[in-house]
Amino acid sequence: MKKAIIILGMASLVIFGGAYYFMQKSSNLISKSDQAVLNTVEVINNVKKTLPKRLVKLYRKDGYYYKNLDLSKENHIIINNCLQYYVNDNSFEDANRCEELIVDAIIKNIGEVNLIKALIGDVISYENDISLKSNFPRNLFSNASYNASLKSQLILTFINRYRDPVKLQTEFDNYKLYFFDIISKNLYTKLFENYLNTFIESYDEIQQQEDKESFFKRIYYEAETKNRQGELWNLTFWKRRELEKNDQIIYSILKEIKAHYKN
Amino acid sequence: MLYHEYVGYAERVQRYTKESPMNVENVSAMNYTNEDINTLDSFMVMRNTLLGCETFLKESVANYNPSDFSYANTLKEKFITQLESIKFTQPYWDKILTSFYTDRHSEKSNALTAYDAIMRVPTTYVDDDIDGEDNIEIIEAISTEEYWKRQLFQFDRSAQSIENIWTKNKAFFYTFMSKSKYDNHCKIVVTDLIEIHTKITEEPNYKEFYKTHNVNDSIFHTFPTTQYVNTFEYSWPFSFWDRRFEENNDEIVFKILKEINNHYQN
Repeated sequence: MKKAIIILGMASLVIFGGAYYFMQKSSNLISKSDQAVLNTVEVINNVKKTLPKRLVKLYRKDGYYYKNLDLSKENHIIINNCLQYYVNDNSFEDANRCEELIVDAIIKNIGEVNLIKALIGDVISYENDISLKSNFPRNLFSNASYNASLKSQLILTFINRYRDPVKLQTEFDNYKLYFFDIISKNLYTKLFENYLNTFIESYDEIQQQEDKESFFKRIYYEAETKNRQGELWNLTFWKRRELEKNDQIIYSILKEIKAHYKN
Repeated sequence: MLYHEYVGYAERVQRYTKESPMNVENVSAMNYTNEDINTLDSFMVMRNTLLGCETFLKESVANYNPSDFSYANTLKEKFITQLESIKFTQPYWDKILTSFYTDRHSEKSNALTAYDAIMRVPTTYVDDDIDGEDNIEIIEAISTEEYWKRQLFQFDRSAQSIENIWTKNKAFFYTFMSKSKYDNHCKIVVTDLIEIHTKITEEPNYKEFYKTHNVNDSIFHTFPTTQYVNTFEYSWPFSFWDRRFEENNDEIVFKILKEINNHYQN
């Protein structure tokens, strides 16, 4: 009995000792990281002096701003019913096109121009280096049942509305002055110019082909057999636009944007 | 205890030694103007707002329990308010009469043949909960039906009141109820009601019979004779007159029906 008590006592001492050791290490770590945070703040403060003040804004953490959608009661029923499908299958396939209703509700609540801004915001990567996400818009089509977030589905639904060339042209004319105004030439050059030029160049390249059909056959063969879909996206993009009969309108819009920022 | 501290330590190692995601030098190298930052920021704000909408939707569906929600009943109130707001206009009457002449349950176009003797003026104010229904069209149909039942219940059915309403509004009724509408919906029931009234009032003991009997199909079928009642596809007109005798408005209603019948015959 005595032996047992001594052994128990020793064992508990060892446990206490071990726990104390890790506690010490933890607190060291925390004070170190506090120091690191302080250092970072100092760096930012120094940088602040040389940078436009508002840039600091972009340092803040990513997150979401909870937005209560003001839905009419009957839309609430419909949307909830179809979101049930979404939760089960992660897709709206059987949901009776209610994603359109959700997009309508969002437009009604935040405004169409803001939804366009959200779309652009979604394309931009704010981490490290502010840049255009390289996988846009392929990420929107990524395997629907696993990766696609509800947000991507909604953005896709919104974009799908602009496949109609007449609507695209009308809405572009509506909003172009606003976006030309807020997106400066500087911002355009740094973020969007290369992306835009790629598409203009690939359109020109396709136009120069004598035999477009065999050209695309080759491209699609390459893309599928060598897994180069991402690389060749800008070429296959125009094939899809041609099928949707909105290729010319998109090309002329891209040219117009390019011309606007040339001056 | 040791284990807890160790796990805590391991977590802190992960949390505090992670590299900061922002790279100050890279951003500063880009040299954006204040306006550019504003624009970039507004794009981010809107993206985060969209994420907020997504969160709202996801939470909404996670908390959604159809049996918890009385949306159907809220909707019912909404439909009834809508009807109230267009009261006595032509669309109002179109809606009410369409509802009256459409039996939701049998989907027969002529609902009267589906109504039995039980189909009568409600004896209480109708306000039923709609359970487990999320088809909006059905909710609207239920609401409209409930609405005219409420109206019938509240409506002053004294002979005097009926006469007043009729003389004031018959001009509107004749313009609103076109001949084709009348022929499609009302003609059969009006002629049946007139014929049955004439027939039963010919019987010497009709007052006695209708005084002692409540609404019950099997008993109505025997007066004046079972054979006669069976020549009709529905027993509703018999109970209709029972209620008029009871309410002492049979004479004025009969007079009005004959007037309507004559109007559309010419």
